[in-house]
Amino acid sequence: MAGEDTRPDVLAYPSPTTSRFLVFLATLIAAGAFIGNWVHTEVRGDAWLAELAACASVAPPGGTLDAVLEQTAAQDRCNASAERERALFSVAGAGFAAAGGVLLLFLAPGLLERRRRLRELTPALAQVAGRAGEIAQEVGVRRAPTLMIGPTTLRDAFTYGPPRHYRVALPPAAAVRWRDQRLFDPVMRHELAHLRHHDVPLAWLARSVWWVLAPLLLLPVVVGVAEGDLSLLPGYAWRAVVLAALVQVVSSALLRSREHDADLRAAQADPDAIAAVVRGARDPGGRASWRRVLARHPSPGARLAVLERPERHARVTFLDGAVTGLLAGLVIPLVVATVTPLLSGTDKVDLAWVAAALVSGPLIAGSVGLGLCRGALVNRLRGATPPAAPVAAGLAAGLVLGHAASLAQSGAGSASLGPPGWLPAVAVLGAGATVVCAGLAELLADAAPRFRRPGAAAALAVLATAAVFTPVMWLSTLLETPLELGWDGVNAWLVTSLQETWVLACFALAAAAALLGLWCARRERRAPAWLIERGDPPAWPAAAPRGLREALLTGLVTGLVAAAALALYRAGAGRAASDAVAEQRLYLFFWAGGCAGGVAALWLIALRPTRGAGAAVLGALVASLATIAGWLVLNTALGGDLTLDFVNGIAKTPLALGFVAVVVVALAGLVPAAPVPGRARILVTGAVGAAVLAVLLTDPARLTPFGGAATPVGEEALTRAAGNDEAEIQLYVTAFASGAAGAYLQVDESIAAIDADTTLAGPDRAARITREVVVPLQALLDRARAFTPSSATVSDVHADLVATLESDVLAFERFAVAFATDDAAAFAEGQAAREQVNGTRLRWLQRVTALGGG
Amino acid sequence: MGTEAMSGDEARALASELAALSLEDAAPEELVLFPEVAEEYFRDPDGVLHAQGRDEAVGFGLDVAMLTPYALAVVVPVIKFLASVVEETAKEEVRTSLSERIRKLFRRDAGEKQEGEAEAAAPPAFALSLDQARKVRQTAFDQARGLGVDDARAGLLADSLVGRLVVG
Repeated sequence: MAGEDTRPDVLAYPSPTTSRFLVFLATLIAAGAFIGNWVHTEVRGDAWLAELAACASVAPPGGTLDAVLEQTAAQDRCNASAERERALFSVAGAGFAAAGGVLLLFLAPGLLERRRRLRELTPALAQVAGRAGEIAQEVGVRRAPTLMIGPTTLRDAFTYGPPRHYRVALPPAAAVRWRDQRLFDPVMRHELAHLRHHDVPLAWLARSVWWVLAPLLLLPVVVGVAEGDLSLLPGYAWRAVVLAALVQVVSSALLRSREHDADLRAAQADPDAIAAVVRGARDPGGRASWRRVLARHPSPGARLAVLERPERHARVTFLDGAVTGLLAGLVIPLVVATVTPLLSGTDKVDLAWVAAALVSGPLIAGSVGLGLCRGALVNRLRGATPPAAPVAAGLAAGLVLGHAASLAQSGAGSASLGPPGWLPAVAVLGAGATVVCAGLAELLADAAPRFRRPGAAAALAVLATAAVFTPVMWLSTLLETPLELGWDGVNAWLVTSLQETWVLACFALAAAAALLGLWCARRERRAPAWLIERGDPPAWPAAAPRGLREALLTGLVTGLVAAAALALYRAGAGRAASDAVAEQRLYLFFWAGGCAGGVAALWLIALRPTRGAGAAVLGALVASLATIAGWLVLNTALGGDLTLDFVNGIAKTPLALGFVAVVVVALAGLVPAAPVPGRARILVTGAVGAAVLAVLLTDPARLTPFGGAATPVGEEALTRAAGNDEAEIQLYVTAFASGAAGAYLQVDESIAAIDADTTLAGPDRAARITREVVVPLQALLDRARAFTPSSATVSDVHADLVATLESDVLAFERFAVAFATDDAAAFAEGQAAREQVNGTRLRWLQRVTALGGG
Repeated sequence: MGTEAMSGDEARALASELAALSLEDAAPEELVLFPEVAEEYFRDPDGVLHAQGRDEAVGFGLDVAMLTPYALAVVVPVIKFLASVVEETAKEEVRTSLSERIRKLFRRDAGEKQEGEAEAAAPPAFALSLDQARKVRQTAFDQARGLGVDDARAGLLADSLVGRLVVG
């Protein structure tokens, strides 16, 4: 442990607030995309609907499968141009907000100078610039900023200006005291630190984008009021207000954090001088709590506390997690809503969710993940371990609120809250991922002395935590649809759609980071020199000399126990009598492999509550791999195939489930308790493991999505589980059809709400039908057309859904025309089309149920 | 009685001279901007004296003010007081010479004499008594404190002001 005279360099890692600023900017720009989409509805809505209606009649539905497929493909290509135009409006909205923000960033300095009467230094003050230049060189700022002087009423120094042309506005009282090393030098060092940390473009760009966005957000309200159509307002107005309030609160919080960074940087040259000036600084917050929330500077007391103990600034708080989660939750649905129509006409629509995860995951990693890693590193010097609970709770709460309050949910009503279990699942997964990252942060702190430069260590910290947050964001967002169908839907989705290669790569990357940390934790080293601002690097204790062995052994033993349990079950139950039973056993194996990872994780977390959550990633990977290896031995011994394709086909799912298990089980790390004593740990983990096995083995049928395939075939079907008709049927029933049915139900709710509203006049009713029924139905139809199954059975059933949706879109388009123009003929056409819908929709549902064996 | 006997420009010029003299001791570094600051002050005294510090984004959080406006504000009542003293001691003088007589109470360093003051190399006709000097100091101090200047700076300002007056 370091002595009191050892001062950590909290700024060795980049500031987590940089990433928070980027999430903030992404949220604002994504809000621009929402406005772009709204403009499209206003300007091109009718043409868009007409184009989609025209596409629906490209070719009449054929009697053969080939004809249906051809028609689907043709309509898909036809719709794509209209959908892409809609997407381009969204992209243009985002681009407008971003470009407008950049333009203002360059225009604002001139306006500011005129408004605040800032002027260049007079010749009498030429020496001030000289002294400022000297300080800039001392602190490593190559291009010294231009100095400006304000009127007598300017009492604070601040920095502004476009990139590469920064200016520091000095109050006259500071400028004339340029020889005063106790005032001028610390103030200049502080302002130059803002430049060095790139605070000026971040802060001013966020401001500029908001200045562009704020009037745009008013547009839907103004147009709605002007046109007398207030249907959008209840769902939109409060979200826009929440966003506006959030912009003020978050930008102030971020600026306050950057002030601590600038103080600490300035203190590297002369800590006493900066402390003396800070002591006399103004307290912008005062006593009123709302002022403190909106203040752009911390109180002098808080600043002095951080200057005295820099590790205080490395804490990651509930608020840090909440702000990051809230912004990520706001941006994810907006990205999905923008990218989905952009990919219309391709079979890559699912990439919209990946895109949202790729935006949010790394940014959360750069904020919360990097913050946790920095906190672990700095606190290690004092022998402390920062708690993960506050930030985990904050991120969970933020994600939930963000998802519910996102502008993309405007008009969705209570459907924006998803099925009852969805938002709690988002919270659990977000909190669990945070705890896992806190554990990885401790392990990466163990490895820190191996890095010569802080940049590489920080990059690894972001990479490793992004490998956790990115798949978790993807998983938690996508879970909404399967959750509509309860356990069967979730189970089906987890065992059929989770095992994406990139998800497994993330799991492997996080495990590799854990391995590195555990490897380095075996021997005592000296603290990394780059972490020490003042004093000698103290010893860096071997945090867990046996940690690596514990993780590997735990994983191995747990996995082998799971494999042994499968073997015993097989021995007891005998050969599978039917294909359905064989299928059950495949899913049993999948879940056993995943649960083995979870049990191993639980043991390691009980062993070492914080660090254990990081080691659990490695332990779970090994446990799942050991289960897979054991099961393969068993299957091969019983005469099953052993090919690379087969191994590849069956190994992905248990590994992916193992990853999810670690994230969920990591919540145990939040239990505020000392490491569990040996015997109790064995008892608890053993009991949990036994309970898991009991649940899995007593009724394996519950693990088979929707009861499994109905047709008995042979046990050999086990070896060709992936890529055949049965698998595609399961995929269709569990992943696609369930989601489509859920979306259809939401549209039904909208129809019922419109029908129930007796106050609507004809044109208003037409507008609501267009917005709340035709648009989501058309989106569903696009998704349905994009889904092109290779299985003839699935294609046949799926054609019913496509036909249903086509008729329904046509029906409601005609209803919209009928209400808008009071056209009785159009109304009759709509009714005729709707009658067809009722029959085909019921038939589709019945056939899907039959496919699922239910 | 007081500065009513002088024109506004005369009173302003006297205040500026005395404030500048006091700043030579209290805050000499501010003299480089004295003309600009004095102009700002006389244009909008309240605005300058009661300016609120803003919570600037990417700023320091400082609240540093020039002493100059306060010096100017402080000398106004002092000039009034000096005018009443001078009027009482030289009732026979015509109004136009009042400011000149007040100016003779200003103590300047060597080489700082104003134009037309060559003859003033001789000792002034009168000087402030100690009591009057104390009153000037108290007036200046109270005025500065009333404007929100802290004790230390108010004391410095008042002392430097009295130090620039001829006391017998």
